[in-house]
Amino acid sequence: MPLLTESKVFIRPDGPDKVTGSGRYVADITLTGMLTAKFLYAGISHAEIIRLDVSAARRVPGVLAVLTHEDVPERRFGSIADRTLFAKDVVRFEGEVVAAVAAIDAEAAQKALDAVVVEYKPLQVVTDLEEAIADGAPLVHEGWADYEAANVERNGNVASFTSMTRGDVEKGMAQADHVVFGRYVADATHAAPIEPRGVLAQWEGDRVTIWSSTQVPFQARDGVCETLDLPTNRVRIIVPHMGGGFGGKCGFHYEAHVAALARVARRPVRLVFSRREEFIAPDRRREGMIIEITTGLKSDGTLTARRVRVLLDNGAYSADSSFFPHMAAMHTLGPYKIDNIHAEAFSIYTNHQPSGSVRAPTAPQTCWALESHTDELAAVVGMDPVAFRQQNCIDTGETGVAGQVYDEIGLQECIREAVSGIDYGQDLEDDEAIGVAVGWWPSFPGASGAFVKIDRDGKGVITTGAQECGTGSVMTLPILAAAELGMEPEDFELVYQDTSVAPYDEGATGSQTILNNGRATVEAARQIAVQLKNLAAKKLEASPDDIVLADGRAHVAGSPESAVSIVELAGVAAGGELLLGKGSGTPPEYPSAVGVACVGDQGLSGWAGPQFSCHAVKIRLDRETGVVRVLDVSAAHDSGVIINPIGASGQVEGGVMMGIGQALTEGTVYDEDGAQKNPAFLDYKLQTMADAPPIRVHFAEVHTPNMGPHGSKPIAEAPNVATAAAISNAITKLTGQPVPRLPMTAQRVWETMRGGGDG
Amino acid sequence: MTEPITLTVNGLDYPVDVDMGRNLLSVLRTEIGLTGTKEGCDDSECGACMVLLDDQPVNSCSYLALQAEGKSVTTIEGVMPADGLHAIQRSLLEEGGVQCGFCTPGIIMSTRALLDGNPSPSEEEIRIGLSGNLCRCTGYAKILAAVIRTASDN
Amino acid sequence: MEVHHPTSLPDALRAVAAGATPLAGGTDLMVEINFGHALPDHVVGLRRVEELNSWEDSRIGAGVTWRRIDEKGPTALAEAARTVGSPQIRNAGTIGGNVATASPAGDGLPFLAAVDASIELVSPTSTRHLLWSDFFVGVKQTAKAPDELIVAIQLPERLPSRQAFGKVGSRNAMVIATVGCVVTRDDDGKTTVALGSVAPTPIRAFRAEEMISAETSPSESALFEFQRLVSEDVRPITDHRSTEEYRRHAAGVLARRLLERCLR
Repeated sequence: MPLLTESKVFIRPDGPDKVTGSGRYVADITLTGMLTAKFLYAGISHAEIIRLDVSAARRVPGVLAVLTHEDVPERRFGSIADRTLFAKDVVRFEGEVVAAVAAIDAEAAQKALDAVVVEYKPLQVVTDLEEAIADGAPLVHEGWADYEAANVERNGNVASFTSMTRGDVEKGMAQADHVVFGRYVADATHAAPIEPRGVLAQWEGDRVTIWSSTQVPFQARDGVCETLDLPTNRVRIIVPHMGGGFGGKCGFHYEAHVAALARVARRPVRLVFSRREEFIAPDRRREGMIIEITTGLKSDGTLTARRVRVLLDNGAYSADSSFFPHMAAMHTLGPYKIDNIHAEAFSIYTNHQPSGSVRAPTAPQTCWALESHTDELAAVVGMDPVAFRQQNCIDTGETGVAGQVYDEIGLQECIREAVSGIDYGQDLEDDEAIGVAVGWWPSFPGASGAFVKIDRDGKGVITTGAQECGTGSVMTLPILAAAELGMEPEDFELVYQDTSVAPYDEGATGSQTILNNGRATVEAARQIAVQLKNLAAKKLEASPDDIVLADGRAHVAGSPESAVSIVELAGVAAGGELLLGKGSGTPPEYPSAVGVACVGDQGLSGWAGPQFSCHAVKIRLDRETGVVRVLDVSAAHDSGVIINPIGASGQVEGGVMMGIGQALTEGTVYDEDGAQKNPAFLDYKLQTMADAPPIRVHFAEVHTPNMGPHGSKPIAEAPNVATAAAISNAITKLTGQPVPRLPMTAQRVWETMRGGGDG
Repeated sequence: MTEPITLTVNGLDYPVDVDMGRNLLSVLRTEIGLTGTKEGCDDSECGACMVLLDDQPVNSCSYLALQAEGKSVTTIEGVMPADGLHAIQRSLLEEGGVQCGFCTPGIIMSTRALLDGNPSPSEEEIRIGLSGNLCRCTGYAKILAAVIRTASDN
Repeated sequence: MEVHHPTSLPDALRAVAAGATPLAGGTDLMVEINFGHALPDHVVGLRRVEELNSWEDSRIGAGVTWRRIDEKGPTALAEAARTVGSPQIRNAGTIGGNVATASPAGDGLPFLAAVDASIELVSPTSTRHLLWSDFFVGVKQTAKAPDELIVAIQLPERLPSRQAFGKVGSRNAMVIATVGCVVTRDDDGKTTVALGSVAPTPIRAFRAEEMISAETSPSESALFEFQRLVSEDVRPITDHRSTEEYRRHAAGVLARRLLERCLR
């Protein structure tokens, strides 16, 4: 039974703030005496710092703080501890912070930056992935043998590495009637939330409060504590409204820099990024990749073996990228039935901006490559690509590439519904085609917590560490709490995004809110349900076990007329034992992967609650110019039971649109020295409303055991997996061969048709 | 160098001293204290800073504050009538066209400008009319639905 | 930065002659200022100068916005106006600003080249008309003297009966042209073709024009010969938006298609 009746319109509780302009984002908050922060960036991709002198900058009128590495504790951070707050001795990418200033206004801050004296001795720049792992390549991190990291092998410029083996790939290839090889190259892209990030810090005594546009406030807090040597209870991170993240605002970013400035200046300090800074500086860029896939198959379409090699552009530092090789390996192997696999994936240091989690990290690029390759496989054996996938994709009870046996999954339903939603097989104009691709994405069980209370008037508050960056926690969590208590979602207010108030939460990362925070919220609400039932039992002279909470009332099962309102019970409780619940839903365990040997294992071979999707896209190709227009999209998703339909379909539509951008127009262009050539919306083209096709959304609502509440699974990242792949397959139907490089710009499509193309 | 000017914003006159080179967006957000108008880029590409000047849409990041003197400026804070939400605000909420909300003020200003000039736009006219407002969350589908609904309720 | 807002042309001219940077719609200059690329000491805002906003027949005031041109401009110029940025940019941006910036990708420029428009330049002491080809001298470089202001764009009294504008770009809106093109064809067959983004300035493909103007009803092979000549005549570069080769190819295709539209 759906948690919301179909006719119910539940307006997102933060919506009125957003449509009236009254909602405050970080850049909208001003504190008395507040200073403006600015950073001095390296502006060069790889160089030794031979001189750094900020004395003149400190003398600029109106400047209250100028910091370099000398002014903060010497601490390394990141999933491989390779990063410091400020560059010391060497800069490794153009957006690396060398110095930070706080001044009474932007002009004074700029003057101080101009007065910093810094001299560089250029070092050899590492940008090409193959060259970076060749013998004798210059090292991005000379001294990294001293860095700390778990489960990471050190080898030249390889930052992290995963290899997965199951079965015997040589034997599998030998059994094949056909062996098909494909090589694909993906350019880096950006999360590009419309709000550039902001951080505002204020000290009172030895405590600092930091307002930050972070998706992960607890991680941000821990980063501040780690790099500035502070206990967790002295650092409070508050996230006001937040203008999108898409992974770009995951991780600990500039909170410590701004806190350090504010401490020295003895004033509140605010940093707000320009769009250019948002492009070049954060350690959250979607990594460029080289993907090579070899698949053996029989003439009847049976897959006998797959070998993959993936090179990922790690950039200069590791942020959270050490699990990317494992993710890339799994995604390039895909949701298929293959008994013999071997995958190797390397994340490689370069002098590019660091890579980090951007919505479904590694998945859109690897899916694009694998699914383009899959259409080639189908063509080799003369099968329709949809039938080929129906035959080879995993279904409930079957074994996947890593030996995991999948319980209730809806991939086959996704394929069926996506193609029927777009009328696959319809008569098309000769410049039109429909491409189809499947994708998958894991769920990430983790720690989370929630407090729920109900006050004397029967109104509730959920206090949680969950994040809201447009993702919909403000809707989903009240829906879940209300369902437990027979109340309406409007009866609940969410207090969130404050590390000193709420229990720990991983934040808006890994699509994890519904899974982990959802479980915590349900558990907390259930404690109140017990309290309400006890109170009602006393009042109605019945057993608590017989009390039903529904429609704002507690009644005796079977006799709805014998009832008491929750408001009345709340009033009683207000004079005695308060209605308080807390939950920290025990995370479900990761399922086991069987028979897979994994080096550099990040524990991600067995996927908890895997989400599946199939996207079918109709395009029109201008054969003379290579310009592709997307005409229609049908997206089917298994994200388990859907709790908040309007939010879920919004996630799918947004993810598809981002995928269209990745497919056709979004790509970072680097010069030979590793600098971005298009760090602006003028030249990094997001899709506009004029480009947006109709998007049909279908949910295969498979009730998923032991995952999110009510059989649910996460949804936010999965829609950003298969779209570019489906577009590629549509293009290939018209061009005869896949475009080997992402984004598939008009020029690259044209070059492919001419028989060239820079793979 | 600053100059004293009077800006008329949402029907109220604000005397302000502005640095002559300041853009309208920055004066609205700081001197006047209306932060509903957002800054998403600085090159007129995203539309988050859109306001109406004498009922015509402009990107306030690319407009000198001084040049707005004598004109009537409408920001997102001036859209809501006294008796509740404007139709476009309500439609956006009910259709689910708001996620992170950062582009929303610009979307609303664009829609107002579009519908003021063309009360029953075709779907194509809506798509072109709002093409200067980037949204990264919604994929535009629910925004489009909200604009269509607002137009048909008119 | 100091800003003046004259209301008369002579005042504006005096300010320009004194070294002020003219500011029309602001869509280019304000972006430069926001980026910190330009920090002029002295700016003269032109919005209130009525003379610049006037539009009499074939003389379009430099301050006329793209929105107005979209509403009542000549066919191909109006088509170009419709593709300038977004509605809010068309509402602020002016034809004079487009001409002054002289970006190779300026959407309005191919039309001016196609119809042999002149740029009216006025200083406190002189007025002169420069043909577009004498005015545009390089990437964002013009023959305008520092004390001159672009006051108007002078189109010929009579425009070709058929005109078409198009551009090749990556999106349906807010596109910087990979190639922009205007083709005109008059009743006597005289054809012009002008292109943007394929050379430092807008250019004409004269060999292609000559060839196709001689064809009273061009055959399909003539159309493709026209395309080939256009591709040969352009002088594009490779940059982060596109390669030379692709631009050359797309220019020819686009020109041929626009010619086909004119012939319909």
